[in-house]
Amino acid sequence: MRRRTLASDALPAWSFMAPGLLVIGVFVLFPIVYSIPLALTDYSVLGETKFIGLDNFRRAFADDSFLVSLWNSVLYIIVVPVLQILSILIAILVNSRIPGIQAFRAAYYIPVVTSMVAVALMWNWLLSQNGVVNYILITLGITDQKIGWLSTSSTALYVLMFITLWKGLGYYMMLYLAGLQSIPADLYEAAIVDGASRAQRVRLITIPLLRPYIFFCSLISLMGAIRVFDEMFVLTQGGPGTSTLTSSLYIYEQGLEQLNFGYASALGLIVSVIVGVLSVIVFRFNRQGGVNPYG
Amino acid sequence: MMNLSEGGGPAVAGSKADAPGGTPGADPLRGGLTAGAGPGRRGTEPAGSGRSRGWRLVRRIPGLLVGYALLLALALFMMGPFLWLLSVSLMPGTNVFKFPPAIFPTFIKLDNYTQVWSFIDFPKYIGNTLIITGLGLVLNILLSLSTAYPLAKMRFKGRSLVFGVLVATMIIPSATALVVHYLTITWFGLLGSFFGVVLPSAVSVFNIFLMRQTFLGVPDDIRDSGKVDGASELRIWWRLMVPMVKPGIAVIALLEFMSYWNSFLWPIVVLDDPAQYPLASALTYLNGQFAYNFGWIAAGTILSVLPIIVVFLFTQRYYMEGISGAVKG
Repeated sequence: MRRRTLASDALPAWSFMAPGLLVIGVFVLFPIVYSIPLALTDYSVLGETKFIGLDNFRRAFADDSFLVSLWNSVLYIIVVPVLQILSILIAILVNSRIPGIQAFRAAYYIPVVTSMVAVALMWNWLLSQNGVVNYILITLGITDQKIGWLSTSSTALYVLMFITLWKGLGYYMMLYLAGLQSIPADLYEAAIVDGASRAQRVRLITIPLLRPYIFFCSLISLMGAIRVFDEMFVLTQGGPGTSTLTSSLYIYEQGLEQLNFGYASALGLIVSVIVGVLSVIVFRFNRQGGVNPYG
Repeated sequence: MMNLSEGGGPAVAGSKADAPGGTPGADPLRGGLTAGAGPGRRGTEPAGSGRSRGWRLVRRIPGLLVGYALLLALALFMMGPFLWLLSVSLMPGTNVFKFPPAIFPTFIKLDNYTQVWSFIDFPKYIGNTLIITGLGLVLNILLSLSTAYPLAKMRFKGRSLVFGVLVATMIIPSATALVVHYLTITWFGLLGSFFGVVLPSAVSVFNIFLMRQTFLGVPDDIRDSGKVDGASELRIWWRLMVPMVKPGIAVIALLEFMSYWNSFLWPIVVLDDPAQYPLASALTYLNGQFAYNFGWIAAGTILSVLPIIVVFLFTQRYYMEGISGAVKG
């Protein structure tokens, strides 16, 4: 009987999945697989395509711009823990039923739904030398000189991280809020009866039960950070100099601006391997805790 | 935890319960024992027991004030840039690079809006955006519904393999996807078409994953009862299963609406005619064209973000429901 069900589901199952898997195959799997042979050629719009072995990889590791871009992408991971911790705190803050709380939640989410183009435009003006941010900082006496936040090499990358943070807080807040609301109230009840302090309750109940959410959010945030592109594409174009050049931006420049498809593929493969290794580390790290949201 | 939960119980017995820790529904469980006890009894009772509702409310005021102060400060931080942009857009002739900057509107005029609306063909760009967004939404919803359903509810050989490969693609993403997508779309002859804009993101592994989690929450009995009634697989899926995963559909719809509405890079890569651009791409174009007409740019930006904000405000409830249903897994 059970054997028959097993057999009878195969045809409808594959029929249902076929269109979706076809799209995934062409636009998700194929780019991963195809970039390997592509990376071994000098494919570009100019001239004939030749097999050049590992030349692209040798060139990559001697390419200062690429190495800088790789370092900037890795540096961008700083944003992940800050973003996650602040989002959890905000989620705890808005996890209440006081009047108007819905409006606050919506307000915090609005940067998430806004396009990066619009966000970039606002912050570009706000952060200019004569901008509102400098005005506020000078008025408050925090600094006495006008800083060109995005035109100074030493600050630009961190300012972009700040914009990522500002735009992402609402997104992770919502996810964590969903997590907080799934924690049964009687757990807190029991803890209160046992005399647990507020901090203890957060540490012993909220954080452990939020673990699958923390894992999930950290993973997508990590992926986003290491592949960050939009912020620098619309705000700084990698500048000043190469101070905000990230690997995604550099691959884009090599691939779709200079049309060096072969070289761009090689760069992409290197980055993919790094991202893959990083996520395996995160998965391992999570498994040690024994919570697996994919179960 | 903020002490901001709504006063649920009539009175609170026992000092330990004075800090409900923001867990709604905690208070009614302990309330009621001392309901009606007046403040006069306080002196003779152990500290904390027998407080009246009024006293409790008074006691909560400082916590509430701190809570609201935090919420408001955060709201200012998140919304401030939008409000300032709005104020720039309402004051024609404002130079955003003048110091000290104008923060609050000193006068209000809609000139920027009327001028930018007549200069740029907004209805056309909105139309383009709606076509791209609509096409992307329909494809994403249908494909994630059909692909995730067998992964959650059917038994067949290779199920875990398919799922494993899908999850693996989330872990090992292609950093060169954009380049290969461009080549693929060129081969398909779809350059310059809306379909070419939408196709590479017609379904995402993330959406399939999200939908699978939602389908897992639907009881197997529903599918079995459909089978007993002799309904076809397609009918069971569309009539019985799909209505059960509406929260998941809502999440995908909202997330994809946002991502298509806001996408600017890929449309620029695929579409060669700027007249076909969606709003966000057109906006980057606009910025390049009149870099120093701040009022126009501000007004154009406000006009482009307004629709998505309105959509979000009207759908946020479904979104919350769907997220909690889908991520929990």
